[in-house]
Amino acid sequence: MFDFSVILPHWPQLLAGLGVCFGVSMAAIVLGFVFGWAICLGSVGPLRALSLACRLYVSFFRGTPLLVQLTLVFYALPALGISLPPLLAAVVALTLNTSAFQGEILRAGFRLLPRGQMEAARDLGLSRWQVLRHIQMPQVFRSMLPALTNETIDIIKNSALVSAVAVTELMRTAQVLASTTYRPIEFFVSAGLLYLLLTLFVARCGRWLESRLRAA
Amino acid sequence: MSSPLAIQLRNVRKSYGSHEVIKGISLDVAPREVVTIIGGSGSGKSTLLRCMNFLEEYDSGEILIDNQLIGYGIRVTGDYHRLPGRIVRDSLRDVCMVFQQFNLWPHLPVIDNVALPLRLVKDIPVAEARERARAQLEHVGLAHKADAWPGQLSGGQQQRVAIARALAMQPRIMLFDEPTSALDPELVGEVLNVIRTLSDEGMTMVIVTHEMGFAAKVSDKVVFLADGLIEEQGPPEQIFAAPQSPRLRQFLNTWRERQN
Repeated sequence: MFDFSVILPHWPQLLAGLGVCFGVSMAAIVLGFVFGWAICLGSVGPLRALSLACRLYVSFFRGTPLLVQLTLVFYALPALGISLPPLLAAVVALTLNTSAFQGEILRAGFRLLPRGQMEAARDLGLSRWQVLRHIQMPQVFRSMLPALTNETIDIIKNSALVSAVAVTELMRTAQVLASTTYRPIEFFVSAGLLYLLLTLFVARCGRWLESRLRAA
Repeated sequence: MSSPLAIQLRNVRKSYGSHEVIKGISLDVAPREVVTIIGGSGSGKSTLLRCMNFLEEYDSGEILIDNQLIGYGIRVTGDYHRLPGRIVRDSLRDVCMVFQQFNLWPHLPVIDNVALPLRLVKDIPVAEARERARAQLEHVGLAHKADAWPGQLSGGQQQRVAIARALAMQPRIMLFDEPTSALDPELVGEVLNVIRTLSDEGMTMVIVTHEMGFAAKVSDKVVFLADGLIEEQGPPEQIFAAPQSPRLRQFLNTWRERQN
């Protein structure tokens, strides 16, 4: 009934799609990590206005569908005169989205740290920034690594949505091939398996990093 | 105007909301003097100690370390204003605190717990900072644990590392906030021994403690706090053998009963 041999000649396209999916997701995760820290520090920081702005940002990107955010970046920005190529628009939208989630993850990590550690650091003469950089941030990163791995996996899966803005990643490739060959099951199952392999790989990397940081 | 005092408290007050915990305390600590503060829970003894290194901001009165007002500046109009953190830190360079909960940094090996502040605060290069850290660990008998993680040490060992971390900064005044209260009874001795060595070496110390026997042996002066005020103070012989105030007598009786 199913004939998976039909996908064989199209392997290179599927793998290329997987490559784009991986590239877009990783770019968003890494950039989102940097912005996530900024949002986290802004919202735990002493400046009221900045803290409020950060929380509004998080509420918006956590509370609206990614598809809406993608569409806004892809269609609304050009209306304002900022026109981004589809691939870049996809990275921007995913980054904006994941930075809100990563910011929240990191903020939760701050709450877990015992206050005494920071008092000791202050007492020994470390500046606020040094306490942040050498005492708080490394520990927050460590304790929140499992949650950050989860977020990376989420972004990989959510990146399937960027097919909606004409980026030829894995999902889009599978859709095109399915409709040209009339073999949807074979191609979507293959795409699903490739997503699964990628997320399993990311989960493994996360575990590896966790165990390394625990030993170090 | 020059006074030989290491620490001077002048009518210090501190409230949390409407609850006043320190109700006007004056206290002098001379250089090389060891002062222990005793009192029941809620008497304000930890808060008072934490005011001395400005972990708690006192509301009124004055705290002077080596004749320098801590935490506040005085305008020409006579008003007090809170000084920026950088200046407060600088004026407390010579004061280090040891905490009840040790407060080591669990993500750094023991040696770097001691070396990190040397690098960051005193700008000492890594290799030299580690060298000095090792010497301090030697001082508290833990050189062999330099590469261990804080989580692998017993409570007593962690507290000794915390003491080494403070000593590495070469303070002239050490504050101890119930340094043995979180320890199993069999580990208390090793920490008290280290503190006693420091007093022999002439370190100025203020110690909040529940260890009356230790306070009796190590102190030059014992201060008994009750309800945010000094109820009685004096040399340990007087405080422990001939207490004047009924509250102190009651406090000591309760303590003795618990010992038996």
